[in-house]
Amino acid sequence: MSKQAQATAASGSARSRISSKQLRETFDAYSMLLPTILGVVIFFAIPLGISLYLSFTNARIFGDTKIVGFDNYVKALTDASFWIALRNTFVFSVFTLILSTVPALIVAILLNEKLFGRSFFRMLFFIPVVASVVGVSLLWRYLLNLDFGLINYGIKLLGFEPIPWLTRPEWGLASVILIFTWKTIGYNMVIFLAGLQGVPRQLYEAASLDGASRWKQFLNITLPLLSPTTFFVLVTTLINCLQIFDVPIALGITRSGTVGPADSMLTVVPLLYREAFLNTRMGYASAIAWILFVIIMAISFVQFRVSDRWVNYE
Amino acid sequence: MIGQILQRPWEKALAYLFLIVSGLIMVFPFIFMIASSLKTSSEVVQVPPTLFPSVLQLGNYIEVVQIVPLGTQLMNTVIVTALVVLGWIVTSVLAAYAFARLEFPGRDLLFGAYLGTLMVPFAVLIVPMYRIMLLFGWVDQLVALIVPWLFTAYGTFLLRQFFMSIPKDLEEAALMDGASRWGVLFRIFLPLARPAMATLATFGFLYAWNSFLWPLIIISNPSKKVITQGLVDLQSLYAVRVDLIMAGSTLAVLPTLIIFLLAQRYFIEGIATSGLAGR
Repeated sequence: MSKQAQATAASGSARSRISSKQLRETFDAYSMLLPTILGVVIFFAIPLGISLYLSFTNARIFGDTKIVGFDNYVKALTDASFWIALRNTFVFSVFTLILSTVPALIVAILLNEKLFGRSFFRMLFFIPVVASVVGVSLLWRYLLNLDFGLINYGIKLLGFEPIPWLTRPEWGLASVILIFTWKTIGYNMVIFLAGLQGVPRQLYEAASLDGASRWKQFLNITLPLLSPTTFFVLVTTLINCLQIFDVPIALGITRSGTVGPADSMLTVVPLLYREAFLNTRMGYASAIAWILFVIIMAISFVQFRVSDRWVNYE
Repeated sequence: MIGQILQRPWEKALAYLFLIVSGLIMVFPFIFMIASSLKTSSEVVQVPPTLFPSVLQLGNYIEVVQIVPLGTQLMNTVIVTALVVLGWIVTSVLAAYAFARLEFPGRDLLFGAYLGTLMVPFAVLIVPMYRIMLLFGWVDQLVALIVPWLFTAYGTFLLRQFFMSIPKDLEEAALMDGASRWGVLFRIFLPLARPAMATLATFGFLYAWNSFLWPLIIISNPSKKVITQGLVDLQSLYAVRVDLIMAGSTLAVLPTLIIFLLAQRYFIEGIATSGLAGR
């Protein structure tokens, strides 16, 4: 046998060994992924497709389903409740976004300092995050009560009129913002802390050798290097806000289906729930879901595009 | 002190004042909730409010599980939570190992698609999911609260990151000695992954224990409901009995607080990791 033929034979058998090894590995991989793939197909991909289809039909829980084109989407745009829900969702999101990130950043900066008992404080801020949303909503329902709630007792002690947090339309959404903010600050604080700990110490050392003041260091090193974290916190908080459900329902749903006095706590997902399961308009509810989905996709897309330009990576 | 903002004593004093006041705002409501759950029905609505109960009403806890089947619902919540956490760990460990270490066609595409599912709001899926449960005959069954929730893209991502950080030497030596991929996963990766699995378990626990929207849709039989639903029922049926509502809320909140205090580190690590995903 010539040298060349030997080499070819050797590489040929090596190739078949590799390919049988690869086959084995592919088989193992797909066996490991089987439960996940089954789960995602049955409980995610198929429902996602059905949802899009339903949004173009007049589906209810039972009975005939007819395709109605874009009727549900047109209906949403002319439905007063939908606009109320959309407006409430945006007002809620804007306030919560500011109120839950700025204090979270301040607390994170303080707790990044070498203070005695800082892990204890971190724990305190995190407690509302883990507690059941429904449980804390009922707790706050009690604290915010007009006649005997602790908050209004404090307000009266300070000499002001008690606030009808849960009984007047103009305060309904404020109560939801208050509770959700209180529950989210600790979560955002932890992410900011992780970001702060990622700022390399050498940068501060170099800056102090150059004589930069503490505040200069904070403004010129800490804040810019924290921008990816800040951006992430803003976007995830916004996306969570747009999907809020538990607080308005636990705080404000009534037997007639209104959410808060005069629907003042009605946001998009509670509206969707009401249309689908109390009014059994499943086609219409699906259209509302897809409008929300498109809004969230647009935000994610902007996040993806902007994070390259606006955010300062190390 | 390099990189520290607070240096003068008065700055530190101010920081402490701020932290103590805001820390109290975070934690005092829970203390007040537990205290109120032990007051009489008249003391709890008394003005001015009392801080601690004048007479301990431990009976509130007995009464609340009698008027609403909160005991059964607590049990349902425990069963659902335990199985969901177990499912999260099993499916995520398997998928994460395959994504982190195995070479196979379609790997990056599948992983990307799986992460992509995180972008879809759950609200889009509830109507079709309800219809699928109807088809399966799972409406009003605990299985509907378990089986669809055994998978988690977040958990797979978390464990994959962890598996990728494990050095390859050990694994390669074992494979050379003829160990299978499954053997490597169970004998090398699983023991090393305990902290990451603990993080995942704490998240699964929070997610399942506190879930509300899906049970509200799929379960209407009071003996199949979970604790969050029981609380809402309690509020709508016995709105005047604030003492009982606080006892119910305490039953729902206390287990998460206890588990949090025991496993703090894992909760915080889990969130910090998800935060790093944004980088």
